[in-house]
Amino acid sequence: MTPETATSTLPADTTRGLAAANCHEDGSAPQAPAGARVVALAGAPNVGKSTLFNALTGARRTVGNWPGTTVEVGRGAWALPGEQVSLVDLPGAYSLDPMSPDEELTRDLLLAADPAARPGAVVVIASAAHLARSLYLVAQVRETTLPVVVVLTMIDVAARRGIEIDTAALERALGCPVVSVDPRRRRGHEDLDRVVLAALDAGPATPRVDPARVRVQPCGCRGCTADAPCSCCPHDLVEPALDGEHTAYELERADERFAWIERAVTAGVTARADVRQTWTDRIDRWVTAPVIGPLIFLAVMWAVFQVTTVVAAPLQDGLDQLVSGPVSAAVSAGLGAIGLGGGLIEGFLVNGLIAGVGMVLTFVPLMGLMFLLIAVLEDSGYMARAAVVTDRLMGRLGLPGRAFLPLVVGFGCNVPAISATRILPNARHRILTSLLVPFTSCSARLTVFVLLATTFFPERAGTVVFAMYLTSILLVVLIGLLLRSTLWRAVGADPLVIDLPPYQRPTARLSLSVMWLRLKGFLRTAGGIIVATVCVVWLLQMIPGGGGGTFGAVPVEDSLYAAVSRFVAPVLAPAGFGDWQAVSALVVGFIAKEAVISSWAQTYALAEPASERQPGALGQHLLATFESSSGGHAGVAVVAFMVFLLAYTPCVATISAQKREIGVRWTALGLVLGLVVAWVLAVLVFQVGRLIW
Amino acid sequence: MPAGAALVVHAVDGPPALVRRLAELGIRRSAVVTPMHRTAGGGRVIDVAGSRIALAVSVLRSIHTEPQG
Repeated sequence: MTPETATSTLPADTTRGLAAANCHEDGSAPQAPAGARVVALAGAPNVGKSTLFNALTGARRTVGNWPGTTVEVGRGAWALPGEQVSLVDLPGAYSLDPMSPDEELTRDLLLAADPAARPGAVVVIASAAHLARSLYLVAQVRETTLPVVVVLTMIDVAARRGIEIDTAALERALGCPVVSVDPRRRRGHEDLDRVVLAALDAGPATPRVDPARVRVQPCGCRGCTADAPCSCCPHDLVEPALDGEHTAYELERADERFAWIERAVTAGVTARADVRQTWTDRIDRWVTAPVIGPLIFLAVMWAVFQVTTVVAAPLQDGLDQLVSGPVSAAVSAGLGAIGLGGGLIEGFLVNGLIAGVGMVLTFVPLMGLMFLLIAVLEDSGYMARAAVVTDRLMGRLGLPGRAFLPLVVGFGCNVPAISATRILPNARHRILTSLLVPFTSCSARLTVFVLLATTFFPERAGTVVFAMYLTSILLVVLIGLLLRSTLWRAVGADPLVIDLPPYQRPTARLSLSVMWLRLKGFLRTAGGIIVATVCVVWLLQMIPGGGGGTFGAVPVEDSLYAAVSRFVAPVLAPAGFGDWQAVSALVVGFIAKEAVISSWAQTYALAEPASERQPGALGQHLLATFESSSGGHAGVAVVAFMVFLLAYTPCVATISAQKREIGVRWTALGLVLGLVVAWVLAVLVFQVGRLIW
Repeated sequence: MPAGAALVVHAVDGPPALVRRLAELGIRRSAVVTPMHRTAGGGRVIDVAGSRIALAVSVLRSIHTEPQG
């Protein structure tokens, strides 16, 4: 997501949505020096803006072959021959008439009232495969004095469809330079560098329409009118739509633009007249079909989790043995050799940091594999199809099919998912989706599910984890229905209108790059929040909890940590896990779900001397804990625990993102809702489950 | 809308925001569209100048067409 430094010089309203430090991505790029000229990167959704931005700046913004990947502004340094400029990656927009907050952001940045705040040039990305549709934005930007460079992408896709483009003829028709590039394979960048530099040097462009036909948008300052605009009025702009009203003037302007586009396409494009069935069409006949389409969607998701757990399991075991065996032993031996063995320092390093962080690191292969598979699905174009097959379901919740996209992002990490709700035009849809996102099972919760599933249900671990994801989807649906029938009875869903990008073969470089970006975010959490949490938990475990003992010499079960957890534990006894060790992990999980496992690892490590610790011992301790707290129904209790963990409350970073997007009141409501739902469901699962299991 | 037959759009009605979004995607008066396969939820994928757009059934009802030629 957008790094803080990367947005600091943008207008205040464009800096919303800055990355919170957690498991979501950090795609930061080196920044241009202060005072560098600014080039904006604009274009319709899913034409490859972020891919080009990454290629030009070395950034690693999230990219995906589906609409709505970019909802925030990214900024990075672009080295042109002899000059570094600041490149700004704008959210996708079909036009400068915004229908959602992300499109509004693009409009505001391009048409800033203060000319000094506007970019020196605008690079509009246009898909060669869908040129006419990409040119409406060009038509509008060409009505201003902003120098425009049109970049054609997806030339290969266009060629496969029998579309040929004469860039010289297109240039003449559009009245601005046109360059072909392949951002996925990094081809054509030299031409782009040269053309953009020339556009920056050339200065303000001549608007393509007669200035006499252009209306002035008065900026509203004293004495400023449409007839006598002041110097700060955006006097070179065509009047924007008035709250979506279709005025005769607007229709006239739209007709003129479409006619201009048609002339340009006629001049520069040769296309087959017939509609031929492509491979994409043949696949889509099945993938988006009624009945079969949803079944394929479920099968794809199941395969992702099954492959992830099966392939990653041996690697995970190997790392577990390495951390709990040779690494811990080597550190203990080293400390002993310098006279620090057996004391608080060894306790902190071996039982705290190594046990906690080391345990989380054993999940790196699993997370990496899952991120890779999801990246492959995104790059292939499948995610847009998933939005189609889930549209009816979303409609039942009063949400448009596009709301599925932030919910899918939520299965990776809830924080960017909350930001992704900005692709929804309706404010109530954004609030409802933001309240549902925390019920999507993020990858941090996956680590806990995998640990518990492999411990308690070793033969069916993949299926159990998949079942948790189904439960998550079910929760989203049920909570959505509940909210719709209570708070949002009058809100209808926007009907499905979604562009289906052609399928493409995922490239290894892109998929691995996205995987690494997300994995790095996960590791950063392990290195940041988890280390901090481990320190606090270790400190609380050293402080006596009222049952005697002194600092650093108190059994963990008599520590302040255990005392606080015991205080909360009775509330969860009806759910079968009213044990202080289980409850303490949930308290820590409120800070970050990744810390659940590390806190368990710490707790049980303290309870057992390092010399007697065996690889996989954490699982044995968990079995004993749940067996004891549930009165012999450990399997049911652990399922209840997983359901509680799924629903009870998102991590603090997600809550902070919610507060930013939907305000304190709705965030508080979501928090209470999550806790109530989690408790009721967990109790229900345990009480009913123990009767039949 | 029969599948595979080219149709000319002669009117698009509905909320202004929807009409504008469809126009941006190329579905506007005098555009040629070709209905393709049905989708889950009762909608359809349609071809508009080589692009494939999935539309809900309620959106399809707001696009008025006639056979081309």
